[in-house]
This record gives sequence, structure tokens and C-alpha cells, in this order.
Amino acid sequence: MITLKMAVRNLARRKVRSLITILGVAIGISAVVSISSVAKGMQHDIKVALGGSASLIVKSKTAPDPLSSLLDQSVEERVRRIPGVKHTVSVWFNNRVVTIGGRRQPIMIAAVERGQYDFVVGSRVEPIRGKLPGDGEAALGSLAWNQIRPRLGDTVDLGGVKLRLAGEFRTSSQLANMCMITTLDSVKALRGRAVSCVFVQTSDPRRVKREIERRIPGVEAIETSKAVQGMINNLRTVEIAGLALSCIAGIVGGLGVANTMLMSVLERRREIGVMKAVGATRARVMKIFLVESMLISLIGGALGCVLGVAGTYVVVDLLQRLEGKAITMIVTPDTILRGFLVAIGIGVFSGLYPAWKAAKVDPVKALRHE
Amino acid sequence: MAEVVIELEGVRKVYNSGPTRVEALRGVDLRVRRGEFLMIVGPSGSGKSTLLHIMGALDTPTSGRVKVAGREISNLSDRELARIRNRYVGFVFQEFNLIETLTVLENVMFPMALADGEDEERAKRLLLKVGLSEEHFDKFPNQLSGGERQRVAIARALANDPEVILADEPTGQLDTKNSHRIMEVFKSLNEDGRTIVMVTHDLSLTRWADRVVVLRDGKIVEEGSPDEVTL
Ligand SMILES: Nc1ncnc2c1ncn2[C@@H]1O[C@H](COP(=O)(O)OP(=O)(O)OP(=O)(O)O)[C@@H](O)[C@H]1O
Ligand SMILES: [Mg+2]
Repeated sequence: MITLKMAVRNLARRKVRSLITILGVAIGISAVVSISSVAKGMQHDIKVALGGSASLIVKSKTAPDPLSSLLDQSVEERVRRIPGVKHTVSVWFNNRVVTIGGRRQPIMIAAVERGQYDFVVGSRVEPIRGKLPGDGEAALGSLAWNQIRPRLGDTVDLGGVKLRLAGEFRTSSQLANMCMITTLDSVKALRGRAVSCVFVQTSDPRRVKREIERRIPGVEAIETSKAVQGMINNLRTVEIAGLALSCIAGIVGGLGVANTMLMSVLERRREIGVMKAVGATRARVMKIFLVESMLISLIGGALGCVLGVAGTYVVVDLLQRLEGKAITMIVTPDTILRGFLVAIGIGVFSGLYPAWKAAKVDPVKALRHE
Repeated sequence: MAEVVIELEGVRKVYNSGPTRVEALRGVDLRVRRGEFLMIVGPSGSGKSTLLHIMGALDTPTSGRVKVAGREISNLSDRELARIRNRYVGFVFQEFNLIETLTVLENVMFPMALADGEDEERAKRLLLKVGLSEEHFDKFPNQLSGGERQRVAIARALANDPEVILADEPTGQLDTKNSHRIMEVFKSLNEDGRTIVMVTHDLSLTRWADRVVVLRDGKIVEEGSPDEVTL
């Protein structure tokens, strides 16, 4: 208790120095938090792009990817009959120029059966204005909405089909936030009997994949977990490079802590002598100084988490506004935990040598009057 | 004959600072008896502080035997030595040596925190006993006068109810009036049965002691009651 009070007051006594040291740690931690939240966001985007909650995506064998594939809508019914298939959703993707409220805009349209939006995106599709679309209606993702700035109820002209703009939605994926969603029936006149692909949920993707490809000619079923894993592995290189960078930032922060603690030990030699004279063991003296370096690092860690999240949010937002770039960031308790763990690491490692120096102080020399 | 609480036999202390070799103590034999008020006097550099530090297990002799709390200190671990300093003796210094970031009360509780735990009531009682009034308890040392600080230091030395108080020139930085008051505090502690060893070069203080030891060039040159020692 007294030890902690002492640590707090020592930091307060040298405000500027403490603040600079804390900031040094905070910058390192914010790098860690920022990089891992953006990396998580990228992984999430990949998952969404590759099928949301689906474990298999059925597309035409000849198409390079599900977005450009075309299937007859009867495929879904045939897939559904295969044992082990729990759930299926047909999706029609279409990239086209639409006119909304008189403004022309290229956009990706995703049409699914009503009520299946969450499943396709793989996370909650939340209406933040109006509602999610029913037949004859469309909704815009928040990024697209901000770019186009339409009004609710505007007419969306798909070139042959006119829909009513029923709402704006948001999801945890920025990729999805750039799209327009509607129902399959709304765009019947455009697609005829065609859909792009069928999203399939099953607990046994390997077997069901083989079964689908055996029973239905001309289709291919992609195992999303494998595809996602492949993409994420590519991403890992980027993440490792980022973490190496934040390691360097952490080391710089740690050196700052070590320097501050060493100065503190030098300044407080007499105090250390006094502690020993009244019965502090070497281990106790070490602990007292480690508490102080931990305190600096934990405050720096907390500040770094806040700065990392807030800073990334601001940068992501700016990039969107100025450059139209969509970056998904995802902050999980895990990310924050990682930030704090690095902070604790900094506290211990940078505090160890100064604390050991403190423990070694010869009380007799320290107490001699100059 | 009262029990011996600290015993030194043939104690030598050599400081090697670079090429120079200083013999601070050259064979000191001394026994401190329970309940006595012992004063160690001598000129500057005669080895008084060195002797006191060794008596309180803060320093170890180069050679010779030192028994504190019934134990030979040269074989003790850091933990055991710290335990002796924490519980068996209580140091009081000329420079007060309070911890500046702790309040008066916290300074007194610090040695308790190192031992069985902080006892705020006891700390308050000790402060009142050495004559510091309650209004000062939450102040920081730099808000106190020299005399007040030394009272806090004495209360801190008493924190874990030690056998012996070891005071190194405790009045060295105080004016005559405050000196006198602090000496009265020590006297009253002694009258309560506390053993006191005090180092000073101020010969006028010897009259407070039961026994005086004169140190010169690291050796005891004279010993006796205050009026026996000449100088
Ligand atoms: N750590 C040290 N390194 C080198 N020499 C030392 C050390 N400590 C003490 N000395 C020397 O040992 C001798 C005795 O010192 P000590 O401090 O015990 O004397 P003292 O009687 O307390 O003096 P004063 O009255 O000035 O406090 C002195 O010559 C001093 O310079
Ligand atoms: Mg001295």
C-alpha cells in the first residue's frame, strides 16, 4: 500500500519526465493495438468476401470467382436435398451503374432472399436509417450512403428496374458497407432465372462438397475455411511486419522507462539507504522500483490502447472521406489484452536493471553526509 | 549485571576506496547493556558512525566479532540482517533521513509495512509519545521544522518496538533549544527502559548518558561515567 503511494507520488513529483516516459510507452502500445485491430479487420473482410457464415460456396465451374459466376436458380433446391446440408442461400451479385436520386453511381449489388442478409455477410447487418429492404426496395451500406448522400425514399434506377431506397445499414465489414442490398425478387427482371452462387452451411464441408460436385454437373463447391485460411496466411506476413514495427516502438518506449528509472535510482540513493536502514531487504528495494516502472508502463499501456483505438479510428475515417478507401478495424478484448501484456513486458524488462541497481546501493555510502 | 544486547570484540573496519586505504576502526571491544544510555564521543573521522552502523547490522566488520540480537552478524544473509535492522534496532540520523514522498504518519508506518503490517493507531501513539501533535500527521517532511522532523525519525525508529535505538548525531542540525528537547525525548525513552546508543562530537551532551566511550582514530581510548571521562 505504502509502496504504491510512494510510486504514484514519485511520478507526480517529476511530472514532465513521467509524462514523456508514459507517452513513449503509449506510442509503442498504440502501434501494437492499431496494427492488430487493422489486421483483424482485414481478416474479417476476407471472411465476408469469401462467404460470410457459409462453409461452402457453390459456383459455376468455369467462373473464376463467385462474384462473376452464373447458375440456374434451381441449383439451390438440388443442393438442399443433399444430406448434411443445414442451410442454403442463393446470392445474385451484380456490379453496375445505378441512378439514385438523379445521381449516377457504380455499385456492387447483392441480392438475397429477405432475412438472409446476416448469414451472407457473416455478422449482423444493422439498419441505422430506415429498414432493411423488402421486395421492391433497396438499402445502401453506410459507406456508399455517405458517398452518394441520398434521401430515404429516393428512387434507385437499376436500368430497367426501379426500386425504392428503404434504408441505410452498417456491418462490421467495410467491404459490405460499400454495397447495395436488395431481395432476389426485386431484381427478377434483371437476372431472369440466374443467381451467382449458393451459400451452403454444413458441418461436414468436405463430404458435402464432393456430393454436390458429383450430383450437379458444371458446378464447383469452394470450402470457405480453406480459402479464407489461404488469404489469411498471406496476410500474416503483413501482420508480422507490423508487429515487428511495434516491437521496435515498444523497445524505444522501454528504453525510455529504463532511462527514467535509472535517473530515479541515482536521485534517490539516500532514500534507498534509508529504506535499507529501517529494514528493507534487497528484494524489497527491487520490488519498490519495479512497482514504479510497472506503474509507468501500465499507465502508458492504458493510454496507448486509447490512443491506438482512437487514432486508428480517425485515420480510417479520414482515408474514407478523402480517398474513398474502406478499411475495416476490429477491436476485441483480445487486442486490448495484447496491448497490456506488451506494457507489462516493458514494465518488467525495462525496470529490472534499474531495480537491481537500486538493490545494490550500499546504504552506508548512501547515508554519508556530504 | 544487565543482559548484553550488542557485543563487539576486536572489530576492525578497513575502507578501500581506490588506492587509499582507510582504517576506520582498529580493534574495538564494546558491550551494550540492556537499558543503558551509552554515548560514543570523539572527533570527526574517529569512526563513530562506522561503529554505529556495524552495531546496527547496516555494515559488517572487516574482522572481529559482532553479536546483535544474540547472533553473529558476519554469517547472516541479507534477509536476516534486514530483519535485525527492521525489528531489533532503530536508527536515528543527523539528517533526519525521512522519506520525502511519504507523510509523517506513513514514514512511521514504513518499517511496520516491512514487518507485520501497517498499524496506524500505533504509529499515531508513537508520534504523540515523542511530542508531535496530531495536526502534523498528514504533512510531508518538507513542511516540518528540523526539531519536528527529528521527532518523526525517532517515532519511526520505535515503529517495531526495537531493543536498541542507535542515534548518529541526532541533534547535529538543531539549535540549542530544539537539541535540548530532542535529548529529553531520548531521556524519557531511556527511562521507559529503552536501550540508547548515541554518537556525538558535542561533549556538552555527555551529561545525559549513563556511560561514555571516547573514540579516537578508530580505537576506544577512554570509557566511564560522564564525569569520569576527561578529554
Ligand atoms: N565508505 C567509505 N569509504 C572510504 N572511507 C570511508 C568510508 N566511510 C568512512 N570512511 C572513512 O572512515 C573514517 C571514519 O569515518 P566515520 O564516518 O565513521 O567517522 P565519524 O567519527 O562518524 O566522523 P563525523 O564526526 O565526521 O561523522 C573517516 O576517515 C572516513 O573518511
Ligand atoms: Mg559520523
